Amino acid sequence: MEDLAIIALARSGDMNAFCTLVARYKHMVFTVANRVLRDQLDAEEVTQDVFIKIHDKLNEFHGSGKFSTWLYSIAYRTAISAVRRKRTVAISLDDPQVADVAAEMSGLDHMDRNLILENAMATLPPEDAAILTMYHLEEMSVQEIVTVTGIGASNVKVKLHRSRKRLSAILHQQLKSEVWTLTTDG
Amino acid sequence: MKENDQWTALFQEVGRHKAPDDLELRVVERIRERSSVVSRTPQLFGPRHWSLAAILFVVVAASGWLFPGRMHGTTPILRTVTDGSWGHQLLEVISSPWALAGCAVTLVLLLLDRALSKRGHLLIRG
Repeated sequence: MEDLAIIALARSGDMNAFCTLVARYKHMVFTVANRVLRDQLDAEEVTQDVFIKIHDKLNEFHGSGKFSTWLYSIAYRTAISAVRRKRTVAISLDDPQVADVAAEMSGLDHMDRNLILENAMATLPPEDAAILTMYHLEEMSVQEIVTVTGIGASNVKVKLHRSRKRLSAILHQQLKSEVWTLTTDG
Repeated sequence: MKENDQWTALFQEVGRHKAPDDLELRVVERIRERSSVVSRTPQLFGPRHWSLAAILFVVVAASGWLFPGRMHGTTPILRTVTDGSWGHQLLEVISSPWALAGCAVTLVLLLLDRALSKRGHLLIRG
């Protein structure tokens, strides 16, 4: 069933339809929340908050844009607000915790690409991690990211470039033995 | 493969993080809990308050009608009945500052109560 049909049912008070929406998008919302907050429990809490907001604001969605963009916009803002409340400080490349991560990774026999990427992502500022996720995982356009974040297009591009450069540096550091062809351009 | 695509491929390979299986249930539970909390919230102005306000209003209006001289120097009601000008006097009382202020306050309270009950209703619908 299409999103709009499910949304229409959910608006009329059909909780099963609303649950279908949650089930369809929960991983997407949880991913951005987790990338921003870097804490499983906080991310779960924020994901729930996001869907409660969606439930409250469902009448405000008129279907002119994509539902996923609208949802992502609420998810991103809720996660950023939560991280600001927590006053999480972004870890810099020189932070000792990053060195710990690198040391831990180098001790592994088999490089777990997923874990390495997640650890590298955790070193980025929350906003940048979310933008990278939107662009490369959700394959959103720069314009869609502008809609979601409220950040200017040129700024989004700068953040993408800077984040890739930073990620690349960390990944190179962690995967010295592996040939990485990833570059920071684009 | 373009450089951007390589990054995209890496992110796609890692994929999304897995949200808890019971997240839908937790969300629905929270929505229902919140609705029940709102529906249990007592009204700001209960029936007793409204009765008291109505009595006060009647007392003020009656005293303004019976003793208008104390408010704005009009002729007492008993004399107006005898000289046949009570209809004119009633209009004066109704348009007196006391009566108008009383009506205005009542109207404000009614609107406030209506707005609050409407807000509560919206929250229940959630």
